[in-house]
Amino acid sequence: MKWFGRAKNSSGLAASLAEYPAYDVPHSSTHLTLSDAQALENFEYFQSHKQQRIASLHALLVRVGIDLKPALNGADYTTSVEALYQWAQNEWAPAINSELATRAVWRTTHRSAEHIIYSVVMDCAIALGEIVIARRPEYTWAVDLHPDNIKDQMPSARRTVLSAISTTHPEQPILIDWEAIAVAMVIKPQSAANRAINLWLRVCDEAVNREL
Amino acid sequence: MFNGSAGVSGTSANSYGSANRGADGGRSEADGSRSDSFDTNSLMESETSTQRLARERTTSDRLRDDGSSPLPAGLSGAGHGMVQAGYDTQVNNPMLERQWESTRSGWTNKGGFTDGAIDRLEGAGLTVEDAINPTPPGSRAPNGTYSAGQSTTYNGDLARDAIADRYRNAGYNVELEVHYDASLNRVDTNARLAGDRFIDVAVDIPHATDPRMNARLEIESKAFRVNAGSIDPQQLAHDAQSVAANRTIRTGGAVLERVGRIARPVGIAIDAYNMGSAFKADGNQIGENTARATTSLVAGAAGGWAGATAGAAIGTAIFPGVGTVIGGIVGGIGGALVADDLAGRAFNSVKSFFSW
Repeated sequence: MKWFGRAKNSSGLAASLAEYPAYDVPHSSTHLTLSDAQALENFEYFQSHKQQRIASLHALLVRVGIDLKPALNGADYTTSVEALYQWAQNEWAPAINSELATRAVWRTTHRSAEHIIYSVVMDCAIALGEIVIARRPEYTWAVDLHPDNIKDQMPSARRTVLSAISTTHPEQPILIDWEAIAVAMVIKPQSAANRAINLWLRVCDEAVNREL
Repeated sequence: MFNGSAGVSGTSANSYGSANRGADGGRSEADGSRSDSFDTNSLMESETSTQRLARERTTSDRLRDDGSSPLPAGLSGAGHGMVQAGYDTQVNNPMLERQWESTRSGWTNKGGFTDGAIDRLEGAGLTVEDAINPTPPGSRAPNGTYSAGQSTTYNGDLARDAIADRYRNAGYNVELEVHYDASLNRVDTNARLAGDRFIDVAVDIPHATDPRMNARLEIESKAFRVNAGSIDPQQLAHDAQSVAANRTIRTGGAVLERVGRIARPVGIAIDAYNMGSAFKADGNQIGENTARATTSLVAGAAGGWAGATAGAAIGTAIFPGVGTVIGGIVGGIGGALVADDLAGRAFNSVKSFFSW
């Protein structure tokens, strides 16, 4: 809701997030300024907290009637991912001050307090990645330290992504930057493209069907 | 505008010309004491019917003189016209989104946008697809037969077609290679001139419930990794201008619609007040003033509606956005004024057919 141009948190989700645990990585500065060692420390945090993060997300989603457990355990994921996408599209943007819903803020977010929605984004990214891994174990979580991606200053550089070895170009891994894909639901939830096609479902399908 | 005509004496004691509108506001006529004691025959010999009608007073004249309302009758119609024109402006100009997508190259296996490219594109008001599209089947890899340049074009066509298929398979209307000229106008030829822009894929995305929220997604497909330096500045400028122009015209439509939604009930209140005043002036019965006010109201409403829609269209053509709003408002009020005035004069020419 906006009052005289100032965005206010007024959604039910915003209230629900008051007690939500922050995804509190050791280094929250922009990914391009991290050293390899710092990026790996962030990845260690990810690995050690992954199950806890999924549990927190489950607890949040159960309040809105979404259950990801079957999808994470190998059952059909279409309905769950569709529900998750709709929920994110409708609820995430109102849960944050619109001035904070930008790519620039996200790149340096501490994911706590007024940025807490970015913790939910990360947790959904983890869940989506796990849905793929449950069907395609060749995908693994990794930190993107590929020299080309760092040199090119790709958004995935020194960040945690889902990775698989390319069968045609082994020297260039296939990366799925789930967090970057998910954060679009905060920054531009009602864009024409996001309205037209569920990108989360599409990427899941492409990964599961080995189209990537 | 009809005053000052030869043969219409402003000094005549019986003249109803504007120069002679007294404080009584012509109430003598409203009171029913229509003592037109001037020599009608001689006057008719020296003036045209237009001139005669010009000196007649309209309902608005009378009501204004009474202090009842300074506004023309039928403003509710103008408000409705503004709402309609604003609504139509948004429906006829779907929300435009220019999105850049990257497909993993079959040649290099690289794709996506660098941070610098994303910042440059989003800074210009464009959107960037965060997922990298998979390499389409059949894409060329280095094999010694084709050059990298040839393969980039070939792979680019496959990437474009894959994007189009994705939306087509989802049930959307899709166009390929949509041609715009440097002035952002759609062109239906393949001849490319300086400043022209070919959009790889265009998708119409209707909104489920509100046609004003229909969208047009126009996609620039890149089958390689895009950095800030590889963005064609002419494409970027064309895209930015197109999106900005669309936003401006849609904002104008939205503002005009809001103004109309405010003007409509205000106009209804004024019209009701004017009708009440006229009814009261007729001694709480339907008489000449009530009939005249009704005529003005109907005509003013129609004129206001037509004026608002025409004004918005003209304003949009001259200066989209601001022109839409100003044209709609000026056209609406002006249309109501003119129609009110003409209706009043027409009423004067036929009122003798009735008796009150």
